[in-house]
Amino acid sequence: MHTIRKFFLKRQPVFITVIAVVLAFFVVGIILAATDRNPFNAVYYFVRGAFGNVVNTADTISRVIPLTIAGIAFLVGAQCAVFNVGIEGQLLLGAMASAIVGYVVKLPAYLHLPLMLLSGALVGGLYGLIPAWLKTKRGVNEILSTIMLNYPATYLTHFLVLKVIPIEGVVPATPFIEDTARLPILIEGTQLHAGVFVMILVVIFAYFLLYKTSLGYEMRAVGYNKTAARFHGIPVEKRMNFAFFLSGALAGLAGAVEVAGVHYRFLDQFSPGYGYDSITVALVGLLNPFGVVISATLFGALKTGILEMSVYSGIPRQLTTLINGIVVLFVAAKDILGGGYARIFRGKDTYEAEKEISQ
Amino acid sequence: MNKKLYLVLSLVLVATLALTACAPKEEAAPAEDVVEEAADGDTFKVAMLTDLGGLAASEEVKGFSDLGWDAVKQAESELGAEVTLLEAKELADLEPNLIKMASEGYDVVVGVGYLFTDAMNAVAPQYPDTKFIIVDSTVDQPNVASLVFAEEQGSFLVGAIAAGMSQTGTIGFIGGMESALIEKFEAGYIAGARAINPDIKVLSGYTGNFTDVAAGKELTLTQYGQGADIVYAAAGSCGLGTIEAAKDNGFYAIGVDTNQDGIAPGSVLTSMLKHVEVAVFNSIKGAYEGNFVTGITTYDLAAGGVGYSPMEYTKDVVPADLLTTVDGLATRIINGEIVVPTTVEEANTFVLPE
Repeated sequence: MHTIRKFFLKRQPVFITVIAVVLAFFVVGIILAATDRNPFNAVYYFVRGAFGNVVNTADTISRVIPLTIAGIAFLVGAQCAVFNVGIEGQLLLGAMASAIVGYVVKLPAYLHLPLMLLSGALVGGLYGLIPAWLKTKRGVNEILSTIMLNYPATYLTHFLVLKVIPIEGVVPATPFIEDTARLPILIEGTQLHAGVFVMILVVIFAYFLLYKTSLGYEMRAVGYNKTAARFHGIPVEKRMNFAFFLSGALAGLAGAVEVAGVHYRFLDQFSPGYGYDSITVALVGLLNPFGVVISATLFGALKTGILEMSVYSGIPRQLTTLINGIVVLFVAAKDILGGGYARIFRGKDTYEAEKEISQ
Repeated sequence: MNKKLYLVLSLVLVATLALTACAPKEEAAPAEDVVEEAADGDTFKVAMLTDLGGLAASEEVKGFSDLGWDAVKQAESELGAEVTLLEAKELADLEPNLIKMASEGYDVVVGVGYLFTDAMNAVAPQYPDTKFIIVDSTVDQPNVASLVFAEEQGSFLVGAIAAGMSQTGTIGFIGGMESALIEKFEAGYIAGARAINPDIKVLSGYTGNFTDVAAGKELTLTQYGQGADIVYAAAGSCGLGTIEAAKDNGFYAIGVDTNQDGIAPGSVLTSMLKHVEVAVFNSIKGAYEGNFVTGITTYDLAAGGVGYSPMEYTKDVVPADLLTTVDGLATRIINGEIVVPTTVEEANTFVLPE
């Protein structure tokens, strides 16, 4: 009993998040039932749509890729007290830069693909340095500056595909990128592409950087308490500038991977708001790199599962937005569950258990 | 505090119950599915997919995608087809959606909107036995029918009506998201207006999307403020804002795609009709009867693919000789005497040929 308690208490944030997600689905079920729709049917088609067969699972994973990379982008910022709400804009500019490199440059694949991805990351990172400068040199709140910087990015890409880059046909997009700049499809007939390896590398990189290097340690120290970090001689502004750049670069990379793996060109409006989703993904993932993968999987599954659900169980797609919202709401409000949770797993020997955890 | 605990506990309990209750039901569900799929063999199945536009929430505000759905519903009632609708939420959905429908044995898969271009180009070769239809764009594959419309011709006629009806000599155009497609509407409208009044001033503005009603209204009021007394909106739902602005301030709006005259009777001068429903139904019917026409089919004035609404509510205010002139222009377009420009650049220098 003691060990079980300890196990559950130690992992309180994780379990509470899981409970919150489960409760959210439960509430969605009530809403479905209240509107004369069979929630069990809906669940069945949801799961089938997301993971029912190889094709669906592969497509789900392809949605997890941008969500994870963008989620990590938010995470590396947030761990260092940088709340980058401008991932959408950085992602779009990164995607645009990589698409241009993808169709203009002629190189063999082993050079072209990395160059294309890196150019996306570089442009995203540089765009992230604008709010960094505003924040560390001018004291502008980065939440405001980054969110506003999404607009110039969006409209610049919009302008480029409509007015500057010539293309045949009615689709507002850049020309297709060269074959050498494309991430290969892993399973024929699905959208699962080799970007999944880029994603895995990004997750490992983020974990390694934040938890295994002194740079990452200092970044997290800034995130915990800027004043204390400064007292310990950590160059707070430098670390924050780096976090801005890294966050923007990963956002740009997320866009580049979408271009190289899914659309093969910059397609106007291609991002359904990955940048904004990334914030939810990172927070639900408890700002932990591996947690982000799990929560991105949840949100990726929401995207694909809901499609099948709406076709076969007659649930209008507007409801899908609602489902998303409810999940986010519950996860955000999960602290309300905390008290009860602690009570359940707390007994007479709580004190000892907590002492052991803290050691 | 205890109350809170009990609340949480009971919620968790109910949630667990609900989840365990799922299990048997989940197994029951596939049975229906098998029945559905067993019927595959003989029924004619049509799937329609929308791009980001989706279907309208109500009958009055029907738009472009709804016309496609009308055609599919018509196929259901007249041809006995089994039909399905799949609305995309994001661009990355389009390709999986096409694959889903094609792999489930739908005979005809209709993609309504040019955003399907890339996805259909990729999917159609994988399912050579499935017949694909794309609206508003061209996909060069042996099993795809590309249905395109001469929007510039329909817009030309409403432009002519607008120029003939304008008191101020200034009319307005509102587009949604800028693209080559919407430019065709704008170009035709400008050219049509110049055909009636070479000195007409046409104000143009774009809302940047097809959904923001308030932006449409705001832009319309700006143009109204600059003297435009007739505003044509080719901007999806933004056009509803244009109609609202016209109704509030007593000027005229011109509707698009569907007959929108009834949204605000008397305030909508006319609507440029794009008969997506005719085109899509013809194509589906062709597939049903075994003579599916692939390649590009252009629905222009001559084919009855575009036109303007019968002006149910405004017939009395429009002078008969204007309508005669407009019909004359229509005939000359059909004859090929008038070639309506498709770019704004050409339209701005358009001169009606003698």
